[in-house]
Amino acid sequence: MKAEKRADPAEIDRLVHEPARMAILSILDGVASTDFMFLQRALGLTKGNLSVHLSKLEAGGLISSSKAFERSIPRTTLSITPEGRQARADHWRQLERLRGLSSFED
Amino acid sequence: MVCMANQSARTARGPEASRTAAIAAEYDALQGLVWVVWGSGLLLAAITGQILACISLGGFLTLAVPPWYRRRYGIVNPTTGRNLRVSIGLLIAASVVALSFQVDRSVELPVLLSLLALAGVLCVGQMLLLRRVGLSPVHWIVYFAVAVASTGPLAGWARGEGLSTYVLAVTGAATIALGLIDHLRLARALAPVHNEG
Repeated sequence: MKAEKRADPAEIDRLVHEPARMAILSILDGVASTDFMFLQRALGLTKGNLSVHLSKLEAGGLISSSKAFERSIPRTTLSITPEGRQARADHWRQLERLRGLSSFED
Repeated sequence: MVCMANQSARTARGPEASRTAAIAAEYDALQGLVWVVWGSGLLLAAITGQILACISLGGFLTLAVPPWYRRRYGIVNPTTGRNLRVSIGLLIAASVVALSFQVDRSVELPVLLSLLALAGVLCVGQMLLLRRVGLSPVHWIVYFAVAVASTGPLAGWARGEGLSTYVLAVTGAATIALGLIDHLRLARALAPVHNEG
């Protein structure tokens, strides 16, 4: 049998795996940066829910944020970090390995 | 394994998540009102005959559209690579259409090269700029209509003095139609969110 990294469900990165956070990382991976308003519109999340997810991602080092004022209106700009890109890529690879488990059940 | 609690439909499922990411990556190309305003300037130029004034007005008003999108839907800064590709693409497209128009002015052909070129650059350009979001049937209908409009000379249209009017009118109508459909797709994807109490 070909030696491969084992597909271990316990290795799923739960910080990335959560659907809303996965969607946030997917959006940020395709752009240089975006702001809180766009993410909220695109994902359909409430402000509070989105804030919680962004805080967790930032605490995990997967995204970075900066705050500025535009005509007295606060703007939070968000971008993915290199660690965030890597974590997202690793997560998809792990999911592919897990999907490969189904071949042993046939 | 997948936690589906507290998620909206836009985030919960794979295909919708990837479509959301596609819309973000191609947000700049979906700001269709830019083309609606620009196309309106061209159409106005065709109707009034005040070509320079109307095109200038259209260009000036176009500048107000991106800030409107920023206020309403938020900000997305495209990658440097995308900005470069868009700039080069627009330059090539404008050059191709302009050169083709010069040929139409110099030589009376049975079809208008400028409108054939326009159909081509619109099709190729939007296929590249909206590679992830994709094109709608309306896009293809517009490209086809512009290509068919290039046969205007066969019907006796777009000859002599009428050439500029005809080309401006077709170009204006096409950009308005394409701009509207892209704006509607963006507006539907970024519908307002109900904030918590």
